[in-house]
Amino acid sequence: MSEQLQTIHRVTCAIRRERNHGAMEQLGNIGLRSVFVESGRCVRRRRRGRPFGLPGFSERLEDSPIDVIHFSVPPELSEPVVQRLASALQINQPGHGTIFTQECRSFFQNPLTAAAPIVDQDDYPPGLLRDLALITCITSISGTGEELARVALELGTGVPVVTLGAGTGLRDRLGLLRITVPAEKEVIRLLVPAWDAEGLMRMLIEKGRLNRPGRGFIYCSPVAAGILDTSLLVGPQQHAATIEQVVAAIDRLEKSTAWRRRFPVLDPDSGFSLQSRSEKITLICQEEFAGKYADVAIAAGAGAATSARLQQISLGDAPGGACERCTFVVRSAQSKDILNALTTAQDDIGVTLESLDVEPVDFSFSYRAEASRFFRRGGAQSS
Amino acid sequence: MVKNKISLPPSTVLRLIGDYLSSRLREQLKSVAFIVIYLVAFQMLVFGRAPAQALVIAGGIALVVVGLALFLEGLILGLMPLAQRVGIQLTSHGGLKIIIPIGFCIGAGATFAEPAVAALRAVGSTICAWDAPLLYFLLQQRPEWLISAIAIGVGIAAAIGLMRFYLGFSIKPIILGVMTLALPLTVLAAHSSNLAAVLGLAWDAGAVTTGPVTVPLMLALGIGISRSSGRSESAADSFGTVALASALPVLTVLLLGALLLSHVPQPCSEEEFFSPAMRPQAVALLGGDDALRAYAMRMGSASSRSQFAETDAVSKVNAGGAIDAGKPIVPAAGITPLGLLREEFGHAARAVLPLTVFLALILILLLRDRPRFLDEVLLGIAFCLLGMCLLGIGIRVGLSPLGNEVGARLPQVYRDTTVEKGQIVIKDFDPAILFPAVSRDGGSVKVFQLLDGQKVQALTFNPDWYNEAERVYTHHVRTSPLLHPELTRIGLLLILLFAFGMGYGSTIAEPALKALGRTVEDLTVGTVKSVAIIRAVSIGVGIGLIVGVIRILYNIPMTWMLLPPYLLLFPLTIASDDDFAGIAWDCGGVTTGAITVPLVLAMGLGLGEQLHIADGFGILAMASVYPILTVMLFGVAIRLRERTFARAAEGANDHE
Repeated sequence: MSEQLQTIHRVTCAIRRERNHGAMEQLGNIGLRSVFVESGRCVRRRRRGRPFGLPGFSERLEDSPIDVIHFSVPPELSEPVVQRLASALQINQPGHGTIFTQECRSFFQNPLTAAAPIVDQDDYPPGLLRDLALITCITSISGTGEELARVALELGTGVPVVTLGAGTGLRDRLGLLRITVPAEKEVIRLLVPAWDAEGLMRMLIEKGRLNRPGRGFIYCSPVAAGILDTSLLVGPQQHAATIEQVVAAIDRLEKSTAWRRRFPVLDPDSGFSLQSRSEKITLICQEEFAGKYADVAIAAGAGAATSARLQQISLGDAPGGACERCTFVVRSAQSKDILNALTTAQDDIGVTLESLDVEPVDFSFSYRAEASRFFRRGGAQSS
Repeated sequence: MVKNKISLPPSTVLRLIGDYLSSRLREQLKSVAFIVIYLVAFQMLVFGRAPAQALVIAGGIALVVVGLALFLEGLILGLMPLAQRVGIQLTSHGGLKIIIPIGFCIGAGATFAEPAVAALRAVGSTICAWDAPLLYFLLQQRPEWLISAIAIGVGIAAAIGLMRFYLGFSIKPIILGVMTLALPLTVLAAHSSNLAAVLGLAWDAGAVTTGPVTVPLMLALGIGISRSSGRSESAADSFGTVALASALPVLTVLLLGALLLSHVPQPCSEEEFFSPAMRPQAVALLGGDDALRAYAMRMGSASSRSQFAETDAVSKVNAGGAIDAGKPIVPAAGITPLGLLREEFGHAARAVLPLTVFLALILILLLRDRPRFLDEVLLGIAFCLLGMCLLGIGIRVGLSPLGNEVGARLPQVYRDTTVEKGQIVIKDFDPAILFPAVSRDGGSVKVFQLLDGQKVQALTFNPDWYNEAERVYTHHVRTSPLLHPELTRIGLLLILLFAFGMGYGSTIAEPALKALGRTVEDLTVGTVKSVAIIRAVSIGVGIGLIVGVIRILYNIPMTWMLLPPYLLLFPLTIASDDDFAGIAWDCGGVTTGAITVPLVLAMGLGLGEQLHIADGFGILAMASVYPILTVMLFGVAIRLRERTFARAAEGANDHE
């Protein structure tokens, strides 16, 4: 099986919904046949003066709708494509969006039809950072997402991108009793400096109380390159440049986020034990069939699955339609079996996969893993 | 399908179920709380007495809460996933050739299933054949024609709506097009005295058909189709079908009315109607000599009845039951609990089952697919059935009587009747303490002085209240009417306040609106909150009811009340974004559902009856148009805020 795997780069781009059309045009020009789009929102802090001229400011979180666009490109093209998209959509300026690319191994050919135009990197404004990591948190209790977004914003790392998902796994094994367990999940994606990823993750676990049963799951995966959205706080301004603009400028000069490092030394024995040696399997298939694939993966050893609804947008001759993405974070040792099971299940299910990727996960944390570490027994403590 | 099922210990199972039940019930309790507290408070504060039969009403309201929770859960578990799956499969398997006929069948079928259509007949039961012959003819003689016309309208609307999702054209030109047809037709119709009477019915008909089952089904189908169509802008643009389904029946009903114009006599006075010259036409209208005679006996005045004096006694006895006056909204007091259960279950089954079975058959037979969780869908359908049944019983036993009680007492507010507040019983009353007093017109009355605590007050003596044998005088304390026989400002204000609260409160609890709100919140990933949409719609319904009541009170022609808001909607629709235009117009159709229709119609009927106005129609149409306005404005506000916020985030130099 593994000989079929080829390395690709998956580009994820979160932009304001109104800019969707511009992005699609750019992507079409690059030569992509289709992309996947997911609706989401990003959260920023909004500071306002108090009403009636009262002194001080009031602050709250404010959402804005965004589209999260995913597509895959060959590794050598990933940076030029990201640069090109970033400069066309001005993502290198704070507040315009987030873009990042991750290396993964895929079972499928990349969807580029024509050779992408050669891009001369000097033409584009710099701003691409290469030392980032992606923290993804899947929470099952509504409101936790808001809390985590607040923590992320207050830590000042980047603008969180929130999308919706549904959980399967344990829930489906409860029989009809599953209706009492909400399936809706909020998926929060946060691009952070790789240096601080572990520290930030521990902080998010603590603040989001993810070390309690049934609250959620968090993992951190490497990012090849990307641009952070640092427009965290919107409001009246008292200086010539906002702190976000200053940070972005220094990031660009340093071409790194290492100077922002803030969790100097971590004691590996303190706090929660993060699982390493995991992999994340992502599959995309026609809508309403992800559940069947999730059953297959769970039977092959995956713990739980998160599914999300996507739209495949046709940019050329490829068909578009409603899709579903299903992700599993599994131990590296298991991933081969699960991948085998998934690829062989295609014939039984009768609907072929649109894509099947594997990517490394640096560390992950879930209550179940933590609990089994304590009690040395797997199973269903969490609901 | 799923292996290794987990079996949980009973305590965990109980806890899970307990959490589940309490969260669902709490949610519905909150949404019903407003209307209940409002109605009770209105009774206590304005009329100064607690509701009669409080226990029964409380039980009814508890049923409403449980019914709402079950119904909504059933929609989310069963009906909406089923419809969405059908939508997705329709696109990938069928294409337009299948989508259009199925859309038509679902729309038309929904109309026949909708119990609220029966409510329209009830509203029309007070209409006299001579006042509005065409309206009478449609409602009482040929209701099946009326319902068919509505069904065709809704069917076409559903077909167009679903086609739109597939092809991806904007809803705005369609809605505006239908409206540009409907509004001039309305103005034209207003000039024909016969058609003018049908206007209210026509505009209400569309509003009524889009009920609690139809709306979520249409929404889910639309989402399925537009999601799988693979266009980039379609995700949030799954609305608009419900709006069309409320607008097109206006056209079809008006057309039906226009076609039938030549078959019915012109409106005339009662004497003219029963005069020999009119006899052939009147007989034709009522469908036979006997029917006309019976109608005269039941509805006519003495002089009309004398026209049929030669008839024998037998027909007089039969007269009452000869004509079906439509099912009353409030059941006769004598109905047994079991009968009520059977009746309401029948309604629920008729509303839920045909459509669901139709969709399921399409999915299984035509599209060769089945839901992923069959048990969940079946449970959802069962929840829907049970929920709707309980909801119906609860409304009839609890909410409706409460609303009716307040509605029926409302006229007291402006009528010249005194209300008894209490009694003072004086023992050992000695008439010797009475002393004479004179009124301004010179009349003589007797008064006495009563020491009440520290205060001395003079009371008028009424000989009727004095029991000479027991020497007990029972003084009845009466409050003067709040207002005068004619409407005064406070009376009007109270009625309007009542109307607003009624609209606001009943809409908040409306299950179809909740389903729409959730769908919007889901599709916008939480940037537009369900609560905000529901509130905007409820305020709109409240305003609409105020306007509707004003129309009834002052007997303003329907056209004048309908044209301005719709004309205002034109530029707003053009200016607003595609998705919010769809959402807003859909909200108009959604508002008139299981809870609003009985409460609001009962109020319109009550007011119309008290003020001797022919029909209480048009209130629902008002309750449909104003939410469109408020939601549209709300959408514009949200978009403006989003845009300024995004611009501020991008520009980072926001000078406030």
